Amino acid sequence: METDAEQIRSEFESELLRTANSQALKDLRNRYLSRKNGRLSLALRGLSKLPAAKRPHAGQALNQARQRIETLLAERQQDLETHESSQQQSGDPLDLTLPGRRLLIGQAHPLTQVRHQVESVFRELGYRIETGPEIETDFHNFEALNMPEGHPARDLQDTFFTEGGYLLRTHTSPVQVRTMMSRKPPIRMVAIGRVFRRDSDISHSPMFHQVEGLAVDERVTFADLKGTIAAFCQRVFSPDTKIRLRPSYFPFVEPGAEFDISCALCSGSGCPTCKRSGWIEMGGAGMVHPAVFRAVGYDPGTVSGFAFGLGIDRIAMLKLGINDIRLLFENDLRFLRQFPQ
Amino acid sequence: MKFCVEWLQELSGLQQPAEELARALTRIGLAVDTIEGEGEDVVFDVEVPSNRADCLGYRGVARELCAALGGRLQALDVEVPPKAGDGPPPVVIEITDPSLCMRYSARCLKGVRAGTSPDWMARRLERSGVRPLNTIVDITNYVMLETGQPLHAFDQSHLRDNRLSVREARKGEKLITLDGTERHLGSDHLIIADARQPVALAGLMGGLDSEINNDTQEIVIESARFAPLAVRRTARALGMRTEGSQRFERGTDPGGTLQAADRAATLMARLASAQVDPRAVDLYPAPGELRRLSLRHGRVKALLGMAIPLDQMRSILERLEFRVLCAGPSHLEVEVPSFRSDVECEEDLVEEVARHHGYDLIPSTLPEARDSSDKVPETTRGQVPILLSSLHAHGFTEGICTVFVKSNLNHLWMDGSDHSVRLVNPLSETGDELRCSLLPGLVAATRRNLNHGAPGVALYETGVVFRTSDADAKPNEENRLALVMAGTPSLGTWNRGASGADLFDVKGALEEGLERAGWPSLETRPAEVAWLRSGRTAQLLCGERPIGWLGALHPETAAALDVDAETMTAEISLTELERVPASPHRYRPLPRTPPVIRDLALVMPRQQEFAEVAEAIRKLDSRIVHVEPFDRYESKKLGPNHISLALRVTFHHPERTLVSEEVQEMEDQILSQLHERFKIRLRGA
Repeated sequence: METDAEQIRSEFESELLRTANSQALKDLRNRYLSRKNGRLSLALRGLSKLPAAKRPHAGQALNQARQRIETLLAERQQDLETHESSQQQSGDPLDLTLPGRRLLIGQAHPLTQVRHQVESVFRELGYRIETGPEIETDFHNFEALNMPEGHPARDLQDTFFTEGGYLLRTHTSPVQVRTMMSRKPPIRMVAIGRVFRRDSDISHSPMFHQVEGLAVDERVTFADLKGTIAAFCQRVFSPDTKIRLRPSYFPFVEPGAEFDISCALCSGSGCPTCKRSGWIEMGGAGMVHPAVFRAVGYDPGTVSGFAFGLGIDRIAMLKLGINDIRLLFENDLRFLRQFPQ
Repeated sequence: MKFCVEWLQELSGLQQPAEELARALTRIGLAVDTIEGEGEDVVFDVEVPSNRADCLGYRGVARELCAALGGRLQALDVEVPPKAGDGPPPVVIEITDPSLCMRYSARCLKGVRAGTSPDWMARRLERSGVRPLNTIVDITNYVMLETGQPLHAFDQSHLRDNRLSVREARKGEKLITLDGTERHLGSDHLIIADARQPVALAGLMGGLDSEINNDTQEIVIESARFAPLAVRRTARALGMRTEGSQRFERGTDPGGTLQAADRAATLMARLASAQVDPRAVDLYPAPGELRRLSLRHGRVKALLGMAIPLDQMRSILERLEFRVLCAGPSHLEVEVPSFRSDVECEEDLVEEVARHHGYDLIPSTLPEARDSSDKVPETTRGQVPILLSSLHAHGFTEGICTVFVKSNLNHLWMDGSDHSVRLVNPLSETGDELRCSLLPGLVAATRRNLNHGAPGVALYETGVVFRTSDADAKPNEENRLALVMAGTPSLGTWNRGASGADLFDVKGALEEGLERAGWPSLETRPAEVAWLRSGRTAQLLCGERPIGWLGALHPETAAALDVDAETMTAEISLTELERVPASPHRYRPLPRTPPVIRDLALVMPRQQEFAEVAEAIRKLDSRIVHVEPFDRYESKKLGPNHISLALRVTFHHPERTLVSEEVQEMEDQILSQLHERFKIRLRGA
């Protein structure tokens, strides 16, 4: 005769673990709790055969076991129901090799992405972003930049004119002029924007984008210019980018320079991208010409400054591996979507 | 300009290999773009800075090489008869205005036999990109290449009265130039004339009449210093550009004219058996003094961020043929050679010193970090980026379109209140105006994408548009944002289809963007504009300020741009929008009590606007917190004049849970109000 409540409970628990569905659970309940021949019912009935002194203690143990069994049954029941209902909903197993569902997400133009990167690099270096109009006066675009009427350098920047004697800015430098005219040094500014020149082929678009940095202060030097260009190029391209400054001529700077970056494709050993020189021409730079300071009302005897500028389109083409600038302005979604961000 | 290396080596006495010479030139600012050819034929293509007239000649470049690598510039080989006799000059020269022509030197030769140039000369010319013609013309070109001084040779027998005068042309004068073109002249043109008529465009091109040919026996070699602006003006007016004009425009060496003429005469005597007239003609009405500049040691250090010893600066300048007049303890007084008109100020001298010392040797530092003098926030930051990122989330991709638009397309977006901006010199007819709206470009991009087979397009652009109210005033620039949607731009998947776009996709993207950026909710007002379809157009407002238009393209606009009329657009002014204050998002307490939601299926007149209905409902009771449509349909049963609109109304009291009686009361109120004001009834009622 079974009176050992503890044993009944432990056997129940091990059987419980093996019940996989509601039917098995129902059978299990019957085997232990059925009034007629459940093991616990039988054991309770068997109590009468025990000596009177042992009955209360054994009865209590059996009742506790019963309670425990009922609780476990109820919990298990709930688990199985949850599991079974989810199984019923899904039916057959899912083919999870099917593609997931995506949203179509738009994005900024690759040029804008590069522009944002350039802006954040300049902010890191402590520069303020300034803007200016795209239609400019001759004064701001040429005259104040030491390119008086008849200056041969004007020919290099073949200019669009609008009715009324205005022009489309040929570079972002007029923003320098406007900023210096409206503010006092120290200045750390950057201008980014569209510029226009009458020129169109695989590497020239009549509309393109420039970025230009200007620092004016009491003691700004050419060495600072070199360091700033290096810091800028290393952040925009890669930390091991090397820069090279070559003397060059721009009317609004003196000394003037063009700067190159080491070719990332061939690491300087020479490839078609860098025309086998190991260097890629990036932009122009120099110390602000005293004539420019005088034009904006600064005293070239007390302040000095540097400026450097380069093409955003050119940065984008190099970084993204684009060989035709016109792709940037065709707005072909097959092209734009290659650069999600 | 192309330079053959063998010639540079001869002039400089340097024998380094071409690659080494090229590196040196690039380092000092004469960038060698390409190196072509082998052996004797190696040619550099040098990018000569536009201020360096002297380096448009072999001697100028050779001088730079000598300064960089320690060569010695060969003296110009000149051998002319000593001046003899005081008779009348062999040609009479007149300069009417010395400001147009600073100096005019000439040599006359007789007994010339123009033939074929020797091989060495022809080869040097060819390698330098000049086609050999005959000895005389070749020699003028050769000396121009060598010295940078353009020369012209006249057939003296064709000069009337043996006179040459440099003057501005008179209106009505004509000249047939060497290229056979008849040029109609006026006071814009600087010319050389004989006693009767023009014989050459000064500095640009000679006349056909006095051209050198194989019968020519008497020659006048012209070697002048024309004013850069005068040559430039003539060249511009005639749309011409020649080897000569390029050099004159940059400012040729006034000190070298006679020498160049003598050099040419020397070569003609040797190679064309000419006899050089010993009487050189040299008009130099107002020879200016050479420029004197001082170069302070401290200025060099302040500008470069690096000190260069004074004796080193002196040595560099002397190698470049600057004359050091005086060397103080901390400065140099120098005289600028006449061929360096580009050196005008102390900073120019700093560059001379720096580039020959080596830009590579200048250290790399960062400027002191300084707070800007202006504390006003940057204009480019702010709310717009938030608005744009919301557009990305709605599937819109940014385009960047050209600002150049064809006028007839641009005018589709003009409403008569102002004018579009025309270009005086467009690159092509398809871009003769500046865009007055972003939409022409964006719609054209949409068409191209659909033509490529894109199932749908959702594009946006931000940028400036141009308009003017007064043709003489500076055109107005307005920053705008435009959206275009067409076709089925959303992604369908294997188990869910894509849906076509409509105006509410465009509107929703804008609504979401404005709200996320903290601007007041977008409002719409029915409107009519020329480029949008009637009944499918709304004016957009934000904070009661009109900011733009939403609508489907007008069929005529669509036809003009060759797109489907189901092209959805919106364009707003960011300039205007940024005048609307945006408020930062702040915490609103979460509701502690549950809302009650009731759905009302209404039948209402077709022309009734939803916004008015919603507004009327919300105004009834402060406990009505939200009204939104969740279904709208039309059916035959309702008749043509009615539609069914299902509204979801949310009731809420912040303090307590609403009981169904009071909700019912409000619902009844809504229904009676809608019926009274708008003849709206409950469906089925």
